[in-house]
Amino acid sequence: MRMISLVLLLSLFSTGATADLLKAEKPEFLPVDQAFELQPVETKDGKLTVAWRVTPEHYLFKVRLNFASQSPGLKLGAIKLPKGKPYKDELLGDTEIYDSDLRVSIPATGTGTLKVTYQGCAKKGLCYPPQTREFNVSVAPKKKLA
Amino acid sequence: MNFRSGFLAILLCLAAGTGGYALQSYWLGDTPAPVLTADIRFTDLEGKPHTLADYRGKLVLVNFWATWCGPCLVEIPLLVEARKTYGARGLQVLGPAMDKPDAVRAYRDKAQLPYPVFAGDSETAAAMDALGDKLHGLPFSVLISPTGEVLHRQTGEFSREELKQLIETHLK
Repeated sequence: MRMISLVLLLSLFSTGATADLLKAEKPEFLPVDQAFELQPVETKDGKLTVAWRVTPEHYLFKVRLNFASQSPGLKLGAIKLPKGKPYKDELLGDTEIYDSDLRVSIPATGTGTLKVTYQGCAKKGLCYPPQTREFNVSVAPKKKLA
Repeated sequence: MNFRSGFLAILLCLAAGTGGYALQSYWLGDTPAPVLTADIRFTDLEGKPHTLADYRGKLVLVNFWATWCGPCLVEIPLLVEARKTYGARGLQVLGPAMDKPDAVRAYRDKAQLPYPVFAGDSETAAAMDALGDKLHGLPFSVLISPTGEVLHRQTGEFSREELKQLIETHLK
């Protein structure tokens, strides 16, 4: 009986240990919307703000961010992107990335559809295809101080 | 416990461990589920259609990639090396890209890829789905047996040792 108990105990241990050992070598990757959580677009005082929660160990490419109006009624002003972190990419060479939460404010007026395009990767060696999301927005002009 | 029963216990542990791992892997989805790979289609850079059935009889490594994917470009030299080392023993590498044909053509010519490459966003995404990908992240690779069964799925880059071990395990 003691012998059987010992065998069962060791079996359970070896099962878990072997599985954990083999699984530990494989990185776990997230779906793109968990890696880069795009927040609802904020509109206030003549500007709209697009923000991402960037999960640790992931990054977005600065050069792959794009914002465009899809409607004649929505006008976008000049877009100034925040400074990114210098990064050397196999294809892009010296470029900039965002590896923490990102907010981009864009001067805008009117109502219509905003198209947002972005692309990023996991630092453990996986890249996600370019993503496109559309938002219907209405931006009131900036209030003038009385 | 004498020597004989101790030895028996160790053997039982190993058997139970291996069996347990296989079951756990199956439940967790590591063991590839059977997939009908024959009908999966790709279009080459000259617009000619191909199916995986065209490569029956070979051990096929399908490597999904793109020119915009840094880790894919890091991994490609390993695939080129594998094709050169194991091609004569029956390894076929295929490179469907989630990319524009012009970009893929330019990269293929520059890197002198010694295996067929294909291009097309929706077709490549459909093939990835059919082969069991859940993330649409790249690189994504699938090893398919000469009879068309999925042997292994890999999300993310291979290391040189990992790829060598995988191919040598399955190459007869």
